[in-house]
Formats: sequence, structure tokens, C-alpha cells
Amino acid sequence: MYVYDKHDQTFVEARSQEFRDQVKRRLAGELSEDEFKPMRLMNGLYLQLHAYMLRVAIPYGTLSSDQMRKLAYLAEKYDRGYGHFTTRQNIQYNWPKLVDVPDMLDELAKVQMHAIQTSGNCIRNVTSDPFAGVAGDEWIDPRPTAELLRQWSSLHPEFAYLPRKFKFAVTGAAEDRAALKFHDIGLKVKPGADSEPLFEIWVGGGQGRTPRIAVLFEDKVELVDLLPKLDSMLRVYNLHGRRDNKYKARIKILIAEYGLENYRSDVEEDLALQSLEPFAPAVAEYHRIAKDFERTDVPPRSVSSPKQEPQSPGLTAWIKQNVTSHKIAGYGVVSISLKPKGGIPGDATAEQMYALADLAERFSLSELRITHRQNIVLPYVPASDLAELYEELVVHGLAEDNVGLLSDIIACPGLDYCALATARSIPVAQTLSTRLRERESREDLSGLTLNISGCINACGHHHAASIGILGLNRAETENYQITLGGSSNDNASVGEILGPGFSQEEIPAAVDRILDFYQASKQPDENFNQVYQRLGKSAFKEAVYVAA
Amino acid sequence: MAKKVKTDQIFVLTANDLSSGDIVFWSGESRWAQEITSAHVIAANEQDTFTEIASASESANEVVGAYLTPVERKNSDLQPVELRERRRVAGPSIAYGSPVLPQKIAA
Ligand code: SF4
Repeated sequence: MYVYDKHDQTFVEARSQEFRDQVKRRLAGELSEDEFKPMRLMNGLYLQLHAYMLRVAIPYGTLSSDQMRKLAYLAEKYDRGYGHFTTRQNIQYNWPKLVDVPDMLDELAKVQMHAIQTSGNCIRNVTSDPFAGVAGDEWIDPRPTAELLRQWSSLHPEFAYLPRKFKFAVTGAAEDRAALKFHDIGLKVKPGADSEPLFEIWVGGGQGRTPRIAVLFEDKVELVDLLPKLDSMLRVYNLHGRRDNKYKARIKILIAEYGLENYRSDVEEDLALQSLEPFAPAVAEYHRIAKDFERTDVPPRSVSSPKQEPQSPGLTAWIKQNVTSHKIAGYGVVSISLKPKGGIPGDATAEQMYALADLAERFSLSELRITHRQNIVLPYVPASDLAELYEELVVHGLAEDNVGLLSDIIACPGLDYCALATARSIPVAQTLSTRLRERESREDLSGLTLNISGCINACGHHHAASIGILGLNRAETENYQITLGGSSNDNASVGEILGPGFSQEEIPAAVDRILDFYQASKQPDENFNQVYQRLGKSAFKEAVYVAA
Repeated sequence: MAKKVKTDQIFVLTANDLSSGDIVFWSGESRWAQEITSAHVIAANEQDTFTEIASASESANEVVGAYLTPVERKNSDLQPVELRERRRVAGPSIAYGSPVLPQKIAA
């Protein structure tokens, strides 16, 4: 894992101290809310529906045991005993008091964490593949690139007030596990000559009220050219991105309105004017960072254990569903579901977070990951320890064997917490997960996704799911719109609105009808989106509305 | 400026406590209360007066984000008219942070 050098540590501690002073001045009345609000937002502190909310960055979703333990401690001491892992691989605390936030930030700084740039119109926490460094299909570890971007973008003076927020994702494997094409900029890292990284740059993706799939800006960008190019891309967006209408301010709208070719030629023009000197250390820095991510402490393990203990059906099912092959023989990548039957997607109690920290220490070289699907990953589990780990997970309520199944639902906080929400998402997810777990015991519901957002901002990625649910407010009553056919993988697609919305009570039956129709219509080896493409919206619409 | 509303519409003044972030309601006795049951009921033609009270309390750093929200009387209780405000008053509808019950290992 990346370890802060003294510059990183000094910077984070100084920021925490600065915010302590700002809070003190706010509470003393020396700063008005108008003056204070941009400062708190730059430190991840929102005022939500019921209380303040602190969003803590988990850079590229990678955590150490000590960091997870600290997150548990913050939940226990300063919040109500739990936290919520988000689709941006961050964690949110829903009930901190303003007076306590400086202490929370000091605690985070002790373990090389912070909440900087988790809000505001700046470059946000860079997300990445949760299987980075361990995936069997990986070409190159994306995290050194993500860390380089973190260093380049942290408090970048020119990009602190962009037209809108700006999100990066980086992957380096055949399978897209980071929804790359739904980001403002997505970087796909591949090995070039001498195994040096080469970058594909995708631009203009996003969700929200105008969902867009990113388009290829350039392939085969060399490491030495990466930061100058991104700097120019951001500068042109900063100049031309719309500031008159926040709904049209993201780079996806600039690309759509101004055109990719015009944008590209402006970037080239800007690049020609740039001094490359400030970027000179980037290549050496990348290699310095990359060394931190190389794990040289992975003990060799035998591929098969000499004596095979009989497995319980629960363990067998959990291994089948939640354990993925590792690039090192004798190890597995373990995904821990935060989607228990009837539970709250992405929530973990302080007790569970402490347990996860301990389990990572015992079984996974003290390392954990957060996924954009709101689950946890232990990336280095010896195959011979899987049974013991499973038993521990059962004790802590973390052994649901549904990763990658339909009940592995993404849901944003919705109207239970969020000030911008138009309807609740969590109770819908809870009802559906209870029903879907029952269906999953009888039929194969793998290869489909179900995502729920509590408003058109789409933090719950509903556009990018096979079955998307969007909560709306219709005449002060919650109403839910269904979209079908979305996907966030390499063949990314935006779901289509099926028809008129449903009440919260009607949603489970509507989802059942979609699944019944899919199961009755699918041909061998066809997945949901293939069936949807083949039969079209009208066939599904008829099945859902006419049959109702 | 106050919005155009029905003349018989009633309101409460709500905000968040600056330091704790807790939801509060103006109780009409120069105080903010935590329960809507203690809220002072404001008539449509009193909106400007209470908007000034809200600004003064914000300037005094007692509360943040103060605004008037329409309410109606349900039996003898006050209930916000808007969906968002109803949820804000009721709190999250879910059992958050609940202790985890150990699952039984499938035999
Ligand atoms: S999608 Fe809307 S309701 Fe959900 S977290 Fe985002 S802003 Fe809030």
C-alpha cells in the first residue's frame, strides 16, 4: 500500500489544523455560514436532511487494517455506531456534531486519511478497481496511477473551482469493475514497451439527469505525457464548461455541445503552450509510488491442501459466490457482502468494522478494499484459510453469499438521509433483497444488477443497472420509475425508462414480473441485457404493465 | 420575499442547531425546541416577521439553514405538508446501526 511521505503527512495535518481553526471561528461567530460553507464542503462536511454528514475519502478504495479500525472508532465515538460505504468507495458518517469534526479529522490524519475533496466542484476522490493488484485478468496495477492523480489534483490551485465536480476512475484489467465509462475521465492502463504504462483516456461519461457513456479521447498516451494532457483537458473544461446552469456544467455536456473534435483540438493547442517542467518529476514519482504497491511479503502457499476437510453447504455456496481467483496461486480474493437479506446496502456497524480490521490482519496481509458496489474485499486470503474466515464472518453477520447476484443491490442513502432526495431508496432495497434472496434460492439470478437512486442525481447508479429504480416525488408521494438494460461494464449502456412509475408497494411485484418474463424468454447463455436488446422495451413493457 | 400561498396556510420555522446539527423548531419564546410539537404556529401573513427572526438567529450563530415550511394539523398534531419535511421530522424510516445477529452456519 502507498505510505505517506513527510510532505503528505505535513499537508494532511496542516489541513486538519486549519479546519479546526475555521470551526472555532464559525462557532465564535467570526465566520458566517456563507463564509464557512465552502470551507466545510472542501473538508467533506455537508448539512444533510437530519444532521451534518462527514464523507471520508478512501483513495482508490484501498484500506489498511489500522485505517479500517480508525473508521470503526470514529463510528463508535463520534457517530451512532455505524457508517455507510458509498458507490465512490468512500465512507459517510450520518450524525457527527460540528464541534467534533476537527477531532475526527485529527484522528484520520493519524492513519494517513482525510476528507479533502470529497465535496465541492473540484477533482474528487479517484476510484479504481477493488481487485487492483490481485485480479487474475489484470494487465497493470491501476493504483500507482490513481495515487499520482491524487497527488496532482489535491488542492490543485487552478482546479479548485471547476464548473462542477469532476470524477476520475482508473482500471488496469480486462474486466471493468470500476464503471470507468460513467466517469468524467476514465483511464485504462495497459502495459506498453518495457512494461511502462500506456493509457487509454475516456472522457465525458456521467450519470445524473443526463447520463452519458464516455468516449475515447486518445489511446496509447505515455506516462510522461499523462499529467500534462490531463492538465490541459481540465483547463479547457474549466474555460468552456458552463457555469450558467449547474445541470449543464459537467464535462459530458461540454463534449456533447462543443463536440469531441473541437475539445480535442483546444486541448492540443493548450498543450503546445504548456511548460512541461512542472511535470518533470511525475515519471520518477510514479515508479516510487508503484514500489509501495508491490507486495513482496506474500508467503508462498501450496495450491491444494493435503487433507480436504468436508465443507458445509454454506461454505461451499459462499466460496462459489464470493471468492474470485487470485493472480497468485494458493490465494483467493474474498468479497464480503454488505447486502444481508433485508439489510441496508453499504452499511456496517462499528463492531463489524472492527471485526473486518481484525480479519484483514489475520487473513489478508492487513489489507482491505471497498468496492463501488458497496462491498468489502479481502485481497490476500490463503485458500487454506477460507473455511476459518467464513466461520468468523458468520459470527459477525458478514457471510451473505450473494456477491454478484441480483440481491447485491446498490442503493444510495435516499430520503432517509439525503437533503437532495426525492424518495427513499433503502426501504425499497430492503424489501427487494428479502424477496430476491428467496428467488435466488430457487433460480439463477447471476449476471443481472439492480441499483436504486433516491433522486435524479443517480448516486445509486440506477442508469447503469440491468434493472434500475429511481425514486421520485409525485405530488408529495414517493413514486418509482424503472429503467432496464443499463450496464457499467466494458459494454456500458444507459438503461431505458420502461413506463409510468410505481408506488413503493407496487415495486416488488413489478420486479417479479420483469424477472418472470426474462426467465421465460431467455435462451441458453443469454444474459438479461441480451434478452432486453433482442426483445426490446415494448415486450418487457407489456409483460410488466399489461400483466399487472 | 414570502411566496404566494393560501391565506389560511400555516407554517413552522425550522433549522439545524449550528453546533450539533440537530433539527430544531422555533418555539415562540426566543427559543428553539427539538420537537415539532413545541413549534410556534405561524400564519401566512406573519411569514416576513419570522423570516427576520430566522435571519437574526442565524446571525447570532444559534442555528443554520433556517426556513419556513408549510404544515397542517392532523388531529391535534402538526404535520409538514411536503414529503421531504415529513421525513425530516420523522427521522430515518429504517433501523440503522442495528446490532448484527449471528447467522446460523448452514449444516
Ligand atoms: S442520488 Fe440523490 S438521494 Fe441519492 S444520495 Fe445522490 S443526491 Fe442523495
